[in-house]
Amino acid sequence: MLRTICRCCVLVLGAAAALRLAPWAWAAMGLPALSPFVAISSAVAMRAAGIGLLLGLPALALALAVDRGICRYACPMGLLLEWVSRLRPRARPRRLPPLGHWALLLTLGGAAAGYPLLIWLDPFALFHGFVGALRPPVTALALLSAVGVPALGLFSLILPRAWCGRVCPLGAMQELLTTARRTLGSEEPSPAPAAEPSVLRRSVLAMGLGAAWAMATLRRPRAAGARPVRPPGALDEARFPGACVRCGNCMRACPTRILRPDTASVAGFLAPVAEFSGGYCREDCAACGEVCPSGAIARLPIGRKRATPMGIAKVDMGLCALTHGRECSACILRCPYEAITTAFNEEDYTTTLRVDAGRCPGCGACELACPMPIKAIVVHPV
Amino acid sequence: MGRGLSRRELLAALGASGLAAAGAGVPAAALADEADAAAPPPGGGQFVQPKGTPAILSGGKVIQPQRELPVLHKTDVLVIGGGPAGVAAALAARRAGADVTIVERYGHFGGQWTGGLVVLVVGMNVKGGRQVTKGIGLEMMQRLEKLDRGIINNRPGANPTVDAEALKFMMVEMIREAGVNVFLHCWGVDAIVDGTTVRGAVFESKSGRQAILANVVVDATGDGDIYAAAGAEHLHLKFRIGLVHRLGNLDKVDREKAKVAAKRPRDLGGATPIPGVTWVNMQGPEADALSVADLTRLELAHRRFIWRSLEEIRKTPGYEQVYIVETAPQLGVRISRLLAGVKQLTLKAVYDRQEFPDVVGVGGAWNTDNPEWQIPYGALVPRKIDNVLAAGRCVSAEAKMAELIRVIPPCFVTGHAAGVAAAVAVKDGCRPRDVDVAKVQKLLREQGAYLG
Repeated sequence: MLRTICRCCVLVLGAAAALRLAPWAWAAMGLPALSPFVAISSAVAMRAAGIGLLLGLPALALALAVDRGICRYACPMGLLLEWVSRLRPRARPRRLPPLGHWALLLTLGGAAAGYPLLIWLDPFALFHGFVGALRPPVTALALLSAVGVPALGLFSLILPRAWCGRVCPLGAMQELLTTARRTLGSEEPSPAPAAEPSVLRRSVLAMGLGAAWAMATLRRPRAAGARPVRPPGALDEARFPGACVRCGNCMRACPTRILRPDTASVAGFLAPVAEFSGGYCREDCAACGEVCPSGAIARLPIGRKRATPMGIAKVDMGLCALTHGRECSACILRCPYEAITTAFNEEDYTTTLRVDAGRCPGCGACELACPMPIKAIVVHPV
Repeated sequence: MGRGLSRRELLAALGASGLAAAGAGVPAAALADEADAAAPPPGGGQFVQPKGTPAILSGGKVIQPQRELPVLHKTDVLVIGGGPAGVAAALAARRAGADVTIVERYGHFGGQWTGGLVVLVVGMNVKGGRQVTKGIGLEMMQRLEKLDRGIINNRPGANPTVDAEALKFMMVEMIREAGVNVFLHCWGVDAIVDGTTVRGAVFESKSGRQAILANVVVDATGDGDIYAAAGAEHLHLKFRIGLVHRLGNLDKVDREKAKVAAKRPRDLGGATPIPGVTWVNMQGPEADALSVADLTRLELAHRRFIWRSLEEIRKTPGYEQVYIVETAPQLGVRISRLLAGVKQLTLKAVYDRQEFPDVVGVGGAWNTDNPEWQIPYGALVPRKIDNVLAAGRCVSAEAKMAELIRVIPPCFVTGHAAGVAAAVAVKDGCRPRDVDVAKVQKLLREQGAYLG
């Protein structure tokens, strides 16, 4: 009973944070920031122990004190899936391999190599993404970030109780903590010493695999055109899709709604991409970094955010109005950084637009302003 | 109004065209001099012994001797420059009851609109295609609409293109109907000041250096020549200077030949009201429009380029018949001086939709890409110099506003406002900076202007 009340409270508070009902800006980070799985994986991946790691500590302490303490007292996802499982009371739980352990260890191994591979499987992040997507205005694209909870619901209908016990990496993390506490905490020999070498072997194997996978991903050459433009302060493209927990916070925090879920790439599926058809990245805003729970988008003070390029504007003079004898200065006038100038060639009487790479942070104001049917100035990833 | 009517009656009685141009502008003193001259030589003409005071080369320096200038004319409101701003100012001041004189450097009105062949009018509309340029500017468009082949694309939300010759004719008609005194071929070269108060302007023309005295001067020179001469603080900018030309026979292009040709000409310009004729814009380099060396260099270079590009066009199969109708008589100066006025137009104010209590006009967008923006009366008034108002592209604005302020519709609007304000100042016997802005706004609205 106490467990249900506790989890209901977390569910309500977590939902309120996801819907941004709390008056504090930091609250918008929501539940994912409290997940030790997210906190540790991203801290390892980023080689930085900051506020993000501290936020994960209370839940970590809970998990150390009580076996599966987070599942029992804090996880709203578990509560939801419990309700789903009740729809099929007679279904027998099927034994699955310990997928959660593999997910956890692969992610930690990957994080050690700089890419927390499966961090987005975090149940807090999945729950947060689902609730946040319901915050108006609800669009088809926004609803894409909500797929996690329905998907898990369906999974739990088919395999009741399988997620929490066998698949959830946060659950696996708690089990690992319990084992560690029992092994190290008690002076007595471990109750099952025979099992230990195989667990150790599996762990080393999984983490090694994760690191190798991560390094393979990081090293893979990418076509420049295929890379999307990410939010300002985002990790480099090799690491960003892995570090992003897909909570959708940044997309909802963005006042100009230029961040959308990526549907074009496999690795970055549902991670945010910037798209400038309806707005640009405002020079007075750094909201996406402030609400990112995993550090995939750095929390930057406004001055540094302005100096952090998310892309760079490039001009195709063949498409530019100036090449076609028209008067136009739309991009020049709208550039908040005064990064665009014209250069006239007195030999062949052509005008060229020049973008000062030192000034242009790729905010997209020029792309938005360009009046041509096919945009002559477009932000490319850096 | 009494003075204006009697003047019109007088002109009618003299059988003049109604334009107080050339002949009507010749001072009585000059006529008397000619009568005193010796008997005409056989075969016509007249012997003349000039009594000038030429510049003197003295010790390697060129000295202009001090001399008294003949006063050509006295007027309530003197408008210098006959472009869209100047003509709007003259008509507005005249309709508000003042005695008005307009002075123009070339032989026609319209400024860059006609002489510069900038025949495309951008900036009448804002976001959503709503037209914000009304008043005298709109009236001009409507009058062009009545002329055969006077204007095309004249519909809400679009950027119309006019015919420069129809426009020259139409503007003369409007000036004539209003009863404005006109001096053409007069280049305003200096201000006449009394301390920090402007009392008129000095002109250079075939009649020599002469003065016109006025209660209020409207500087519609485009370059702010008069307020600068009077000592008003301003911003001096280098900006792109091009040269427009018109191409003809584009309706005689052999489409079959052109279709199979390997390339197309680079720029054949935009449509004009005349079938087969286009106007071709030119960006040009950034240069100083106040430097005669820059102007000369560009004029020479631009003409060379235009001819070369015509040759390129003619080399293209199918385009052999294309020819240059004309190159613009005036170099395409976009911006030179911007007044440092009581108030300054800023791009931020445009984007923030700032409202001004002393609004006297509203500017538009190039491609309906920004909302309407208010122009305060303070943007026409110099900070320290009195009795001169800026109108047209040289009003008070920051450099970033150059692109928005320099196009034709804001010139109508600032001209209209300056004209009405000048007339109110004359009628109320006050300095332009002290005019009752509410009265100016009321009169502007009565004259059809849109103030937001």
